[in-house]
Amino acid sequence: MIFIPVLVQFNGLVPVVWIDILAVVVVMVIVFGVVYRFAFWVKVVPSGFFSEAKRYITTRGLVSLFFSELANRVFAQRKVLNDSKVRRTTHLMIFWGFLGLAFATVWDDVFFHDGSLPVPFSFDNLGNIVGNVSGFILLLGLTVVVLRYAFVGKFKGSAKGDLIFLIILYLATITGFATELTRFTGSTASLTYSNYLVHLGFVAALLLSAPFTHFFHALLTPFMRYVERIQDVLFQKGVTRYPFQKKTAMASLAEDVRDGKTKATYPSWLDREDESAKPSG
Amino acid sequence: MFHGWGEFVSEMKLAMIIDLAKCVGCDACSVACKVENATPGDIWWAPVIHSEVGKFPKARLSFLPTLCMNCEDPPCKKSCPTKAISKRDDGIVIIDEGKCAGSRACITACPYDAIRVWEKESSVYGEGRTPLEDMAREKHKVGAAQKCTFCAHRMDYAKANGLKPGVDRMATPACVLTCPAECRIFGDLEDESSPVSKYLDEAKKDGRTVLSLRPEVKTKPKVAYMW
Repeated sequence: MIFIPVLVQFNGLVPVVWIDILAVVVVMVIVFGVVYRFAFWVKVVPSGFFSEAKRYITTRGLVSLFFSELANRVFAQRKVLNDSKVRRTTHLMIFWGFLGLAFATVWDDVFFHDGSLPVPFSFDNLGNIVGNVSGFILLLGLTVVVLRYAFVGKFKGSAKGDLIFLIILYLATITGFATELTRFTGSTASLTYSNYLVHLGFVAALLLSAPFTHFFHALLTPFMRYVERIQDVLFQKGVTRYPFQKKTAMASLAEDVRDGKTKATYPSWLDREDESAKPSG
Repeated sequence: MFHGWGEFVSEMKLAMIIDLAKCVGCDACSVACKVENATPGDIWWAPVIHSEVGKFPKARLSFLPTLCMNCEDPPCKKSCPTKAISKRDDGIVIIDEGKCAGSRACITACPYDAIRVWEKESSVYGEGRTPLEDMAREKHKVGAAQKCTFCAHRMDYAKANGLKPGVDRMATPACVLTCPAECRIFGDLEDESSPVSKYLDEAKKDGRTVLSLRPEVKTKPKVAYMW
């Protein structure tokens, strides 16, 4: 069989300007969702944590730690998921595959904004090459994860937290490849268009749900690890006060109460509802 | 008054008092917890903090037994992005390790440093696993957060068999049962005849100091300390 790649004018189906408007709406919703969710998690960090940390390791130190965490934990994923090589490898594949696809999307949007994409697998378009390689890596990683969840006893039922995210990401990837395949095999434009529309739908769903699904861990987990890293660094510097060393601070509090240096607050919520006796201690 | 488990179960408020004046820092509670809950090698749900206080000749050792405070208003529950943390009717805060995605938000949110993530499966004795490590593999998930549950499985057993928490052995957390100094007292705060209620009442009469750790964070911890 000889494949005849076709040049598809995507704007023949949906005007690019409509997709642009939809993209702006999606981005606005995502930004709102991320800010809304992140505002909550910032509050999870004990108040005054960063301002106190700045006193010990300076703003420059905090920024340097941030980039060190970004490079080591996020991009290289060192000392992350080190319980299993398969788990770490698949996580890396999904992470870099997704980033590659994001790059390819931006590339194509910048250089082929009118929707006239060159034929697939043409080596004169970096977006095509990176997109297809990344998509394959992502699909492979996702498939291993799904197979492990489905068939390896140890992991069965352990995907409850990320099931929606996994399903949408998987469907977005598969429909992306389906679109590529229809173009590559020279299928009718209508089949390519319908695949493309479905793919766009899943991508929009993936991004719109991101702040509310396991996708959000891409921001949340590195942030929490950054907070932990600051605590580690301060511990090495001998800072033992709250909120940097919670346990040591708790022990100090108990001792201070014993020695009368601090007045204890009686935990009134421990009283029975019909309690009339007031604490004397 | 203790109503028994069943229709009034939501009235139950399980709590623990730790009498610091009695603690001798033997770590038996920590070990009992580890065996009872098969926690992985480097994870301890109920560690005792040992610290040196004062200077010679008045130096001494100080001990603070710690565990999850099973707060009335648990910040870990609010922080969990996958809703893996819940609070039961009896007040015990539980992490569903299957739902946990390892975001670590609960670790940052907990003011008591009571939550740990099982980072890596490893054996204390090099090659091969000990029977306890095999149990840890069965009970816990690598990459998930875990913490003290007030021995929730024992409370479930108590509920099924009409036992009284803090009184009947199988209805009492392992750390409480094991403490040779009997410094841990457990039970239902809403039951005036429970060991914990009686101990608290007695302490008030004696004018002893009852404190909770980090009251300013307003989590209403259900573990209180006493001097």
